[in-house]
Amino acid sequence: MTDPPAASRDSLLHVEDLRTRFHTDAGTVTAVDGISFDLDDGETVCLVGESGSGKTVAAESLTRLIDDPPGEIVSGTVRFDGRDLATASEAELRAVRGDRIAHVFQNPQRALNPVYSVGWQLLEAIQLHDDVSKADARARAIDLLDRVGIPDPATRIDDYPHELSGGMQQRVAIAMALAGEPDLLVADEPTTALDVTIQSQVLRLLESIQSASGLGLLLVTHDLGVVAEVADRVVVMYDGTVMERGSVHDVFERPSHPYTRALLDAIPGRDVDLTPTAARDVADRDPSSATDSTTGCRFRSRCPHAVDACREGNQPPLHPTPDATTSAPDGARAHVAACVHFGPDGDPDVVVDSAKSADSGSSADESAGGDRR
Amino acid sequence: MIGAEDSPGTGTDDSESADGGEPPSERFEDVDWASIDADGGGRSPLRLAALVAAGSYGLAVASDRLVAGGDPTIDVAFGGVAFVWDATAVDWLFVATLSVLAFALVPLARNRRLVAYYWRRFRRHRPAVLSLAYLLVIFLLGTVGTLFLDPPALDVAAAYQPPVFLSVDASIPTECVGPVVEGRCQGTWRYPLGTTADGKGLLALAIFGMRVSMQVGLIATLISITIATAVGATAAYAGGWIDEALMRYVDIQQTFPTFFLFLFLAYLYGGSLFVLIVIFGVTGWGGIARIVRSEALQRSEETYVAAARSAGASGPFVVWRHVVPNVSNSIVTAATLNIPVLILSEAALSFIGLGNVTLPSWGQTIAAGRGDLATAWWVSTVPGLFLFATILAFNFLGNALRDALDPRQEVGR
Repeated sequence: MTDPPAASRDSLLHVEDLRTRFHTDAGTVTAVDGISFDLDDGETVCLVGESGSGKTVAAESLTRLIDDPPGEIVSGTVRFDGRDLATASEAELRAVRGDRIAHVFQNPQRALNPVYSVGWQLLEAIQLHDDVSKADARARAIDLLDRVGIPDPATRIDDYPHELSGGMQQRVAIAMALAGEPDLLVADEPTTALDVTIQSQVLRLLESIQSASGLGLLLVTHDLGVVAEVADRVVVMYDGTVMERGSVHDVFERPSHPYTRALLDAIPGRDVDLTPTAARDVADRDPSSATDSTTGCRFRSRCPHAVDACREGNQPPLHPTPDATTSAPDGARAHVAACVHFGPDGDPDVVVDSAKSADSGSSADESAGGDRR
Repeated sequence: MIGAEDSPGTGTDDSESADGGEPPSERFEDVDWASIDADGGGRSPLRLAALVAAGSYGLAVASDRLVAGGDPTIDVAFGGVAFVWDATAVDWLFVATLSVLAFALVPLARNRRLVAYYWRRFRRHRPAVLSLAYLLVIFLLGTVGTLFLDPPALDVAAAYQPPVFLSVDASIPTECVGPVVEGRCQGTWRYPLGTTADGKGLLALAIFGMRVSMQVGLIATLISITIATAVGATAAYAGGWIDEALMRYVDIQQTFPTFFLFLFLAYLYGGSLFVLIVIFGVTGWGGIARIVRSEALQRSEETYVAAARSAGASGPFVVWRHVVPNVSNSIVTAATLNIPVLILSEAALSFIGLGNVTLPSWGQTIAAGRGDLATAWWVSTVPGLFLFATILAFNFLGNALRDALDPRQEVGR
């Protein structure tokens, strides 16, 4: 692919055609198969998809956290602040990890080392990148705990992880991620392991941190409610490939790819069907095994609109959707969908008008908004 | 800060080499510093560590002088420099081992609540509590007691004295130290556990045997678990061909006949305790390495390892600070169960006469008394009972520690 010059120069993070494979006993699994997206300072991009769609692998491939072996980044570029992390040395990566790009993981209980106190782990995170004295580091750690909303941080700093609730643990994990004052925070399902009231607290926290420090936030989630709440832009993934990409407004108001529409239909309590009812059984089927052949559209076996053209070639390229003109004009920010019906020879109406009740985008947006917590 | 840590270490190394140049001790001292360095990262623990390390070296020097100057048996019997050297090396190793163990207890001592928690779990095993008490007594008698007690002395006149409260036909001892009542020689408090054919007091022999057993068990186990932890954790964390190479090496080493290597070296250089300890330590870590690896494999999959890497930590850093502390309970348990095996092996080798014949090892004493079982049964029985009780105690302790430290392996509770 050619570089969209404007996008690559302006973006904090520019991922292009990233491919990550795992060599397993059962064969080679391409967990991430050529994904591309951009992320700017102060922007929230959500990687959305069902389990096994490669979201987590994609997030961990950015700083090559995946285990190698068996994992391997086969091709693609991860340009972060002018450097390609996909080909950077381990030492360069270590300098970036934590200091420039930090991670928050799904299960805070497992993300904190049970044998060390919270303060010990925060001090470690601080001292990995800054040569500060222990007293200074401790003061900063208390400050960080205060920032993430831990009450009485000077006392709680000596607690062990098991003495904190799940929400508190995730706050500590976020504090650890913020210790290096990163430019990009990769949060991999940060709210999935938490109960609903805590989920929204943690999301508010991430939002407030972002607005205060202007860091970029890459949020990996399968929760469309979360996406609707915090995302600026959305990348919908399925089976390692990008199905649809665009601003949260475009994707929720005018979902284009059949998979995105099926995902939105899967939100309980929606009264508007975006997919023909008869076809929803098909969409409910298990995703095909990731070791399957990688020809044609990955979603075709579950897609209600599959045609013969879906079997040919590789995953269709990301075609601009009819509403592309309303969103940002350049390639990286356009509303695009990887579906033959949106290609030059296709007819988007096959997908968009298939469910007559979904005649207006605003009702879809409303119901997505109604799912917010 | 790093310079500040290094300078006291260099200082002790210098004084040590001036004293006799002990490469093994130096190596252990290095391990020491590393563990302390990683331990708190703070300054005060480092200071403390420097003090304790310097103190233990002073102690080592003092004991060195004591053994070389104040022990006529060893000097007279062997006279040669080589033997004095051997004894020194083991003692040095032992001191280094004990200081490493002391440092290992520092984080535990800092965390009273954790200690209390483990103690509550450990306490449920009555035999293990008794075992711990017994082993502490053995340990203190063997390490501290032997510094102040006279070594068992040859006294042919006092041969075959029975233990106190017991009696034996008066014709058996050369000369009965206690009263002879109705033709039977009564035991006395002068030799509470009786004497051997050489007239050596069995109590003193048993106490000096404790030191030998503790030295073999603790030093060789520390060498083993150090290597095993390094190899096991590295193999698990690195994976791939490194894992494969290290573990296949362990397989090969496990097939290696340690006994014949010792036989060979004993034939070449004479059976010394130092050689025995080093051989057991350097070749006996395969099984522990496997345990550490399998535990570390699970731990390496934990998110906190990924979190540490995502925070920019290097591979060795993650292994040392995150993987190893989380497998330490398995290491402690494996070490506790490794000690009795080593003590028993040393006793067996001494029994068949392959050990250092001048050392009052339990196995040695058992072997010496086996010809007199019909007449003076206590000569073999007393050290045999100590050996039996010590092995049993370590096994009880190991099992109780496993239950206390690793609830997953708890059975039938």
